[in-house]
Formats: sequence, structure tokens, C-alpha cells
Amino acid sequence: MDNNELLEKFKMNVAVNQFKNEYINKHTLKEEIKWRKYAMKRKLIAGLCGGVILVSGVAFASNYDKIVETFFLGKGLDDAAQNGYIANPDMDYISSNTTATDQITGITLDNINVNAKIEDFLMDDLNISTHFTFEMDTKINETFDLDTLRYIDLKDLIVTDEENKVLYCMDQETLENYCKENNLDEKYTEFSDNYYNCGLNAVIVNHDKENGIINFTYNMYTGDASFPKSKKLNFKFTHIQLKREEWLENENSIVNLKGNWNIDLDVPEKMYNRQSIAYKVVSCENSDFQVTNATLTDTGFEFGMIISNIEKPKPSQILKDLWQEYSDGKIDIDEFNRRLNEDEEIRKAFDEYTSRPIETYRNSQNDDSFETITYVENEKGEKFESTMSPSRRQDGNFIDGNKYSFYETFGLTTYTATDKLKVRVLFKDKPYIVELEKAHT
Amino acid sequence: MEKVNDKIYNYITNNELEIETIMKEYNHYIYTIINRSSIMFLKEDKEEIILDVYLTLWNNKEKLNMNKSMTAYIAGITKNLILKKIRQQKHIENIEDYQERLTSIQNIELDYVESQKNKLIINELEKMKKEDREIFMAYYYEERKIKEIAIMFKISESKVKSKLFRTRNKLKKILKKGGYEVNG
Repeated sequence: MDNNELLEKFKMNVAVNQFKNEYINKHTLKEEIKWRKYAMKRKLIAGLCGGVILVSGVAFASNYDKIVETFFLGKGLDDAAQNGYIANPDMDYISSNTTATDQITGITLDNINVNAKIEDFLMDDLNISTHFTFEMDTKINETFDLDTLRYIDLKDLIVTDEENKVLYCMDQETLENYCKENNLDEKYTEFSDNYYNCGLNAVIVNHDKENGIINFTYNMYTGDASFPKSKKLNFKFTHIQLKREEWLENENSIVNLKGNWNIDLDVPEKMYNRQSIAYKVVSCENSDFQVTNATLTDTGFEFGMIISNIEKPKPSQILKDLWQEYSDGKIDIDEFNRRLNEDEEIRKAFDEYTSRPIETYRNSQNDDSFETITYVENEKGEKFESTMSPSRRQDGNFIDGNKYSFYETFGLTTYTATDKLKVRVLFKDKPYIVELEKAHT
Repeated sequence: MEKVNDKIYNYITNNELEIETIMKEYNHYIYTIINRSSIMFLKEDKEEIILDVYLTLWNNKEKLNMNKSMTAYIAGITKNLILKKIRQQKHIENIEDYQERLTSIQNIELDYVESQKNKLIINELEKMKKEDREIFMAYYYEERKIKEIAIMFKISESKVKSKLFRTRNKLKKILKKGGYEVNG
């Protein structure tokens, strides 16, 4: 390969990497926007209260062969699905006649048939992950070229169970109507045991203009309480939004489909009877560690501990000044957030102040990079970092002056765990082993 | 090889890394490092490592320390990529021997290098009409605006957009069929 050839190959690779980045980022941008907003709120809370609690995750993939058993949410959930922790309802399409209206031109098409079904789903304490298939009358292409589909929103989706608990709903009117019909007293702005604080991670996996098929995943996850052990689920929606590629630049680049879809699902026993397995500490190399939780589920491994004798970082003057300005009402929340994100000095000070003494996710996927993080290891020597699932629970808080509360959800599951486990905690650059074994209760 | 002044800032013009100059000066050096490793690499493996060295450098250009030596970066990246290749090929090798020497590029991410994975997409690009490919390159490599490209190729802006749109769609299909998993 001569220099010219090398240079051409180099240029092609750079261009292709750019293209791939753009492609990936577009697919995940909606998530990212949502995540940034969420992170911003959390950052603010962290800043003001001195703690960080995150529920995070961005996921995307496009490997069709794995659709049925993969939710693209990292090791924990995908391992569970691939090991049979997945329900295949084998249902017929639910059909609805719809009217499609282009939000820019106002052009309306009647009698567009849209069939919907859930191919499979998974439910545990933290997730309801579903694979939807929509089959549309290809007449839709007259107003919405399916090749240009970028996002799909089930605008008024409400997921409920047999006890009328609302597990997911992000549309105020829909929630209020449901509550009225069922004599419930839930408020859109408040969450309770009957109305869950639930986030969404939606990914289009495939769309085919020729036959009008759209495959997509809808991953719903709780932010706070665990989902109930529901035996039946109902998915109801009347409004689908198809968004074009340019929707990011023009929020009206949407076609609205109005119809009526009502999907009932039976939750398999293994899901509503889901059990967790407790592990107990056998030994710990650091006497300042007090393990508070070591619980294994079908989809993850929850590990929490309190670390004593740790000095809390002090906020720098620049941060104190910022908070003071906000407390005094001199700046509003938007200005506070803007400075926190855009002022390099403030951001650096904030990052230093909130930096975590324990990291659990690898920056690179090299085997060696496990050495730079805290992970859990089974008896086979397999190592598991924190999960990528949106339902990942992660906590890093200084508490009671000189203590630190650590919590993480790792990608180890009942399908990959062994009776004995090791958590290798990298704390202040030193590794400490916590040996665990299954507690027989 | 050691240049009199091989600091990174010598390879920056108009805020851009002069990759062509670097290639001219360092190709031989990279070959030498590869040939001195204890593994007998195939010709195509060597070429892949060399390409990946430059891609790594490019992808991490924001992280390069202006006052550090380009030679040190090139050497560090090359050695790391050799190590990566050894692992891929599952050669039995005393990795610790290498690790001791791999200290100069701690903040450089090798994971971004995907020239091998890009091959399918590049093959598709090479099959396309010359003009379509050149428009794609002008947009994604040269980072030119649609307006500029329209002037360059003497076609309308909407034509540029539609050509890019079609190229993207073709490549997306490859991405999907290739089973690209983007999450970790």
C-alpha cells in the first residue's frame, strides 16, 4: 500500500466513522436529550443536597437476528432474555382503522389500516421491555415515506395491570380519564403505589417501506419503586406519532395516526413469581466496608455498601458562590444550569466535587480495563461491570459526614451467577475483595 | 527516527492535524516497530495496524499534548495496536513485556479504531458512482457545507441533499445488515 492509497483509505475511514457517529447519535439523540434533562435535574439535586443518585442508560443496536431475545439494554437484561426470561404471547395482530394527518401540510388520509402486536416482553422489578411490530397499510407512504422514519411515539400509551395500577403513562389527559373511569385518585404530577414513576427508552429496530412493517422496542423502567408482581398487563393507545428524520430540526415533521389499540397480555408465572436471591458476606479485605445489599435477580445483581472513614470533598469557592447566587434568587434555575454546563471552571469544580471514588463502568472494552473499575466476578472467573440498562440503580453519596453510600446494579444474573461471588472494589486506586456466598434462608 | 523538533504543534496547520505529512514521515517508522515485534504479521495485518495508528491519532487529536513528541505518540499507539492484534489472533505472548513500554498514551482511546469493521461500508462506497462518493467524502471527511458542495459540483443544493440522502440510506442498510451493536 503506497502513501496515496493509505491516505485514501484513511479518509474513507474517517468519513465512515463520522457517518456512523451521526447515524448512532440521531437514533439516540432523543434519549440523550431526555437523559441530559434528567441528568441536569439530578445534578442540581446533587449539587444542592450533596449527593448523586442516577437512573441512567442509553441503548441502541441494529442486529435483526437478535431482536426476539435482545432488548439492547446491556448484559443483565439481555442475558436473562436469552436464557428464557422472556414471554412470547404469540398473539394475533390487533387491528385498527386509522386516519393519518400530516402535521405540516394538514393532508389527511383515511382508512389506513394499522395492525399492532407485541412479539415478546419481559417484566421484572425495574423493567417492562417490549418488542412491538406494526404492520401498516403501505398507502401510508403517500403521506409518510417510511424510509424516512426516525422515531415512533405511542403518544397516549397507558400500561395498567389487573389491579388497575398504572405502570406507565406519560399523557396527562389519558391518566385523568383512566382514573375517572376506575374511580382512582391519582395525580399526573405525583407518583404513588398505584401510579409509577416510569421512564421510557424507545428504539426503532427495523422499518420496511415495501411491506409497511415497523419493529421497535419500548423499554419502560421505574425510577423509584419496584413494579408490582402483576399477572396481567394491558397496553392501550389511540395515538401514534411517526416522526421523520428532520423532526430534530422541525418538530412538526410528524404524521399523526389516530385509531384504537388495546392489547392484553398474560404475565408468565416466572415473572410474577420472580424471586431474588440474597448473598451474604464471607470475608472483606477492608474493615471500613459494610455491605448493605447483595441481591441477585433474573436481570441483575444489586450491590450496596456503606464505606466509613472517608473524607467528603469540599466544594470550591466558585461553586459556593454559584449556589449562593441561586439560593439568594439572583439567578434562576436555567441560568444555574447553564453556568454549570457551559462555564469550564465551574464545570471542572463541580466534576471534582462530585467525582465518584468508585467507578463501575469501563471506558473501553479491553479485558484489561476491568482493572480500572469495581466489578463482580463469578467462580468461573467471568467479570461483570455495571449494567447499561436504563433501570440501573446507582448511588454514590457522602452521608453522615464521613461515610459514603455506594450502590450499583451489575450485569450478573441468576443465569450467570455461581454460589460464590467476589466483588472486587477498586477504592482510591486500591483493590479490595469482598467474598460473598449464597445465603440459604 | 527522531526529528529535531517532532512536537505535536509542528504538525498542526490551521488548527488541523497534517495527517498527510505525518504519514510521509512516519510510515517507515511504524513498519519498523511492527517488524521488530516478536510476531510475524501478514502484510495485510501490518497495513491494517498502520491505518489504525493514523485513525487513532486522528480520533484523539483533541487530546494530544501540543508539547509532546509525535514520535512518542506514534510509538505508543503502534505498540498498543500490536498488542491488540496479538490478542485478536490469540497468540501466546508475554503481554507484560509490552505493557511496561506502553506508558506514553494513557489518555488515547484505541477502541474507536474500527477500520476492519468499516470495510463493508467502504466496499459499498467504492461501488457507488464517483460523484456520489465524492459528495459523501466532501460532507463527511472535509466537513463541507451543503452549499459549498453544491458549488464544487455545480449542482443544486437540493440535489446534493438528495444524493447524500440516498448514499446514507444505502450505507445504513449495510450498518444494519452488518449487525453493528453500538452499545457496550
